[in-house]
Amino acid sequence: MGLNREQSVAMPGQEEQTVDGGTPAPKGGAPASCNCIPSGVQIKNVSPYQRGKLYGHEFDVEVSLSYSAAASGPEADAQLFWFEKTNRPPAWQGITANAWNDMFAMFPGSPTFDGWTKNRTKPCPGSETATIHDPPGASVDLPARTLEFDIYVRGQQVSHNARAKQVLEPDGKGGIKTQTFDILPSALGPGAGP
Amino acid sequence: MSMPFDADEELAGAALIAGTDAEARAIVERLLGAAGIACFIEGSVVYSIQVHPRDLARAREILGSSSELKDHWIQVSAK
Repeated sequence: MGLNREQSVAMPGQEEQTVDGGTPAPKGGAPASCNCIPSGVQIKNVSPYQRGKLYGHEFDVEVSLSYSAAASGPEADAQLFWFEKTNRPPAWQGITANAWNDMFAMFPGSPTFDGWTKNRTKPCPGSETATIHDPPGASVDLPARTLEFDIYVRGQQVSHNARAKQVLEPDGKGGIKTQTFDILPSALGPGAGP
Repeated sequence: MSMPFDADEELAGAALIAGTDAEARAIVERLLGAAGIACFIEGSVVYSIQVHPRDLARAREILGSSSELKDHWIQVSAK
C-alpha cells in the first residue's frame, strides 16, 4: 500500500536524491534544484451530492505554481497546509473538536492528496496547476456538523490561502435539512505577499 | 430528532478509507451490511468507518481480512 511520501530517484549526473511525494524526476538537462513559487490557491467546482446516506459537497482546490531554477542550494518545493476545524470529528481520526487540525500533516498518504504529492510534473522552468479533489461528507443518520477549511500553500517568498465553511444538518427522518458550502475571503487578502 | 443510534453512545472507528474512493466505500458498506453491522461513514480527506462499540472487533476483523480491499488505501484501527 503506497503510504510512503518519499522515494529515491537517480537524477542525471548526480548521486541519488530524494524527491518529495513520489513526483517523477525531471528528465534531461533539468536543473539540479528548483524553486517552486505558488501564485494562487482557489476553491472551485463546488457541487452538492447525496449518495445513499452520505451527503456533502465535492470541490477542487486548484494551486497555481511556477518553477524556476535555483542558483544553488537544495530544491525548495512549496508547502501545503490543509487545516480543518469541525464541531463533530469522526471517530478514530485523532482530530480535536473545535480546533484546527492539519489534515495533510496527519494523512499525507491519503489518495485525496495525490494531486499534490504524486501528480505534479514540476516542470522546471515552467508552470502547472495542482488540483486536489475532496468530497467532505457526513451521514444523514448522525447529528449536524460544521466543517471549516483553511488551506495554505507557502513558498519561500509568498503564501496563498483559500477558506470555506460547510454546514451539514439532517432532518431527523433520513433526509437533509441543511447542506451549504460557502467560500470565504482569503485570510491573507487579495494580492497576498510574504 | 430520531436517529438510529443513541446520541449518548460514542461510535467507534473501525477503519479509515480515502474520501475519494467510492469503490472502497461500497465494498465496506456491503461487507459490514452482510454481517449485520451498522456503519456510519463520514469525513473529509479521509472517511472514518464508524460502528457501534459492540461491533468494533468484528468490523476490524472483516475489513482487515478482506481481499477486496487489499488494493485500496485503508487503515484498520489497532486492537
